[in-house]
Amino acid sequence: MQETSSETSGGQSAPLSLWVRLEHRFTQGVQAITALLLLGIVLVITYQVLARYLPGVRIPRWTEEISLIMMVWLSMLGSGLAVRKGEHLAMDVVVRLFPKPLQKVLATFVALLVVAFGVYLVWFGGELVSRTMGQTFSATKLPIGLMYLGLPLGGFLIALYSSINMMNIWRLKAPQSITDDADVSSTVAASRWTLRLSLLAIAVILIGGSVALFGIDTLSSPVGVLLGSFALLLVIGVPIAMALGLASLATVLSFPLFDARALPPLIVAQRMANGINSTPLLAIPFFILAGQIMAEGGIAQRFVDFARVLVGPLRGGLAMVNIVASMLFGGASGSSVADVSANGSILIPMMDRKGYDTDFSVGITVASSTQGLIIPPSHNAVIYSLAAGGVSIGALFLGGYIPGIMIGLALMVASYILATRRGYPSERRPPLGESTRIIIGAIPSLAVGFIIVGGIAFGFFTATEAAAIGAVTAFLVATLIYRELTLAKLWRATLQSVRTISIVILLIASASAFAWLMAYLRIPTALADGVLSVTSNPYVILLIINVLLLLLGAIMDMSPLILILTPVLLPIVSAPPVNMSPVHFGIVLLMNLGLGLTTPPVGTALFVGCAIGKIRIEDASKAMVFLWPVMVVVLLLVTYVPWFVTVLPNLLSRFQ
Amino acid sequence: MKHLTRIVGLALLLSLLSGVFAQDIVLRAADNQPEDYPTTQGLFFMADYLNQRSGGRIQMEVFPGGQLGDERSVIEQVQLGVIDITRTSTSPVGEFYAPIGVFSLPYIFRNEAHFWKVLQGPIGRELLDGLADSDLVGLAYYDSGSRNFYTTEVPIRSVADLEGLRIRTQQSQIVLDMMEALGAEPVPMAFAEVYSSLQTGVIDGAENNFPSYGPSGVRHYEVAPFFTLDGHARVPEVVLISSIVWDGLSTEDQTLIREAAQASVAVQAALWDALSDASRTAVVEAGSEIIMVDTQEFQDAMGPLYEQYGAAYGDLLERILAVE
Repeated sequence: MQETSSETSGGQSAPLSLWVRLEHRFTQGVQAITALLLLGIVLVITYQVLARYLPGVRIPRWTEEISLIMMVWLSMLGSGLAVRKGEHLAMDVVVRLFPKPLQKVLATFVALLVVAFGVYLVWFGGELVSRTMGQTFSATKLPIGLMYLGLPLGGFLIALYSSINMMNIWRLKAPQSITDDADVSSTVAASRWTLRLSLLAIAVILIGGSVALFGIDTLSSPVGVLLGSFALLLVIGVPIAMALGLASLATVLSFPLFDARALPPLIVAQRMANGINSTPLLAIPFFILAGQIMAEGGIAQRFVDFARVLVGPLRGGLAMVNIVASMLFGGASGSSVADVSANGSILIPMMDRKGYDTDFSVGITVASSTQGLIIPPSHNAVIYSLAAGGVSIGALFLGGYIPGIMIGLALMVASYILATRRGYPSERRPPLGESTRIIIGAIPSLAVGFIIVGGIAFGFFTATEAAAIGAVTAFLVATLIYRELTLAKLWRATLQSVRTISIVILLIASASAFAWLMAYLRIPTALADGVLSVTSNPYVILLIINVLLLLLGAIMDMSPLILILTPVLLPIVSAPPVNMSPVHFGIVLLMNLGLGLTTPPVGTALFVGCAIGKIRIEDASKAMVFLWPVMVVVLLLVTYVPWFVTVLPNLLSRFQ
Repeated sequence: MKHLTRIVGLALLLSLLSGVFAQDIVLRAADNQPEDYPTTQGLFFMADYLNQRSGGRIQMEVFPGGQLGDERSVIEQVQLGVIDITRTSTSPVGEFYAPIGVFSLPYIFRNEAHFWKVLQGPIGRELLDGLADSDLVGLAYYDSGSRNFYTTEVPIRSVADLEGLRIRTQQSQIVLDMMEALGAEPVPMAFAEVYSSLQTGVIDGAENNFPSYGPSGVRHYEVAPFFTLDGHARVPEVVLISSIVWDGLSTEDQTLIREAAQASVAVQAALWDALSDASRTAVVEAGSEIIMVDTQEFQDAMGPLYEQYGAAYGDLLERILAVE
């Protein structure tokens, strides 16, 4: 439904050809299937929770297996849809520096590589299916191959839509990705030289660092092929998920060049499939869906009103409201981008009217949104738990409260100082009757977050079940209590969720293959030895790691970095001399990478904030310059004082 | 760790030099347990043994901690020849070679002596040989101790005590059925969430071995002080090598590798016993009660389950039970 407008504009002024209409119908069919699959997972897992607490009903054994099959299909088909929309996370900051004609050629090449990735999935995903048709799930006795069938099907869609995109590059006047966000590209153009220099500096540090840590000998082996081809693919703009998969494949094929025994190309597909054949992963779709429903269903507005009652009368009241609302919304949705778009679209115009400078209103929206990544529930915490090999999600959630609130408080202090200096107003608290109504109205929204975290932390249900209940509760609150979730909004939330889920799950799949190769080539061990040969001072090691994370976080998105870096860095920090607990490191990692979302050149939260406030990134940076140091100070505090993270989980119980 | 890497590095250098004279062999071995765990130490012993006896010609690199995947997917990789050697539980091997799954049946071993007698006798031999049909070569069995129930409030002294208790189990059909045969209610859940679930009373108990229960493991003894020695599961570990790799080795090298694996069995078993005993002593000191039970009564409750599952293993179940 929402697609119609973009379709007609894509077809230019000419009447829609048969092919375009055919593609449109086909896409609608795929969308309907993925939406049904998502609905199916929600229903099945909700039934599983109910069965656990209904007297006389046996806990069903088939629910998780069926849900897993549906999730793999959903995410693989959805990956095709995300290719169609060009939504897979990619690093296009370097590509934008090239002249336009070269960009077109590169975009074509990238699309070809994505087609190759799809064809690989069709071919070897198919082989994997035929090899696993004989193995069965333990409860349902369904063949495991049935689940993996999603891989070749998804591969087909990825190849198909990428081919269509490739033809569009030459049919339309300019590449899709550049016309999409003209704002950003013009901003980039203005600061080309700064950007070039900063990218060059980051590249030099990363290349120099890897040569220093691994040594030239190690790099002139499959290790170099893996890291080098990955970096190259990223720089030319291949989406990260595809770059991880293709780099892994290239490395596997390169083994005979280095006189090593050849590896079968099937191994990449096997590792990808294995990475997503995991029940804890089922929590991710629900967290994403819940966040989308909250953003569409009027829940954000409740939090803003609630925060106005709480902190409005302070100096710079709306800035305080912004921070507290993010604390609450992040506590419910766990996504900083959803937070920026939901809170920002309410608060940035409000702040403009009250005379706040736009750089500040955008800056504080973006900075405060990072709380949502750390204050539970947070699907990034689930991704970390998986990447770290099963760290307790309950402990991670509880551990995030204090650091998240610390960021909030620190930002409030900074805002207060700025507000006093720039003379921003405070807000009158609404009269008692209205205040009471607002508080009562916000209770159902607040309950969503507490149901999820409380349910997990106290062991009443698993992370997956809690997330499912959260999504269902958010849906009920938005439809029955607030009555703001229309069918059209629900459909939009569902489709957007399907694509976001697919992007994350495909990343997890490819990152599993990549992480496996890193382990196979002993990269984590080599890196750990390299770091320890430089210094054995735990404070210095943690500082190096934080700087590395800040640099990488500035140029890459959060979830791929969690997936790639956790298996490499966790062994370093959890061993002597650092001896960090995996929960503590997880929170530091999330905080640090969250900061990266607010920095150029690649900062999703910053981009969304600037788009809403209609200002350029450099302008927003004027306010950010005050806010970044504040966040870095909190980050360092949390890094070096584990108490902030561990006190709550320890209080409740002795988690691992 | 650093030390070890240096040794491996030195060994690699030496092997490079000696490589002029003979073809070097580098074997990659995977274990899902951490570096200091008995099974992983068993593989490290094998590596040292091979290195010494072959004069550095055969190298074995050990990847601990599940770096290369979970047990099931590592077996797949061994079949593909991507990984050469692995130590895994026989339980996932049952999905590739069904008969070896017989060891996963609950209460089939009366005690540790019975366990070893079966494994090192003709039945154990037969099942290792049978793996050849699945592109795997079985080298040796390792000890895995026994899994037992532990509970928060209700001590289990007989089968009747299990009635209605909510016990956390692994997501495995046979374990779920065993729980139901004993009258308990199985609750599959992620291992990391078990501690808090025991504490908040969402579940009444769980089941595992001493090292996992004790201070070296996940410390469930702090919240579930009643440990019942029913030994419902003694699923052996097995050391496997890929057929693809095996068939490319000379007969002498094959013999040497078998020898190394056999020699590592005693080392692993001794380490396991030490770990298990230390854990047992520690939890008793901390106040846990170790409860002895009549295991025969528990085995008797398995009648319907043995009928349901036993048929798939031909006469294997009867033969194992019959070993004196």
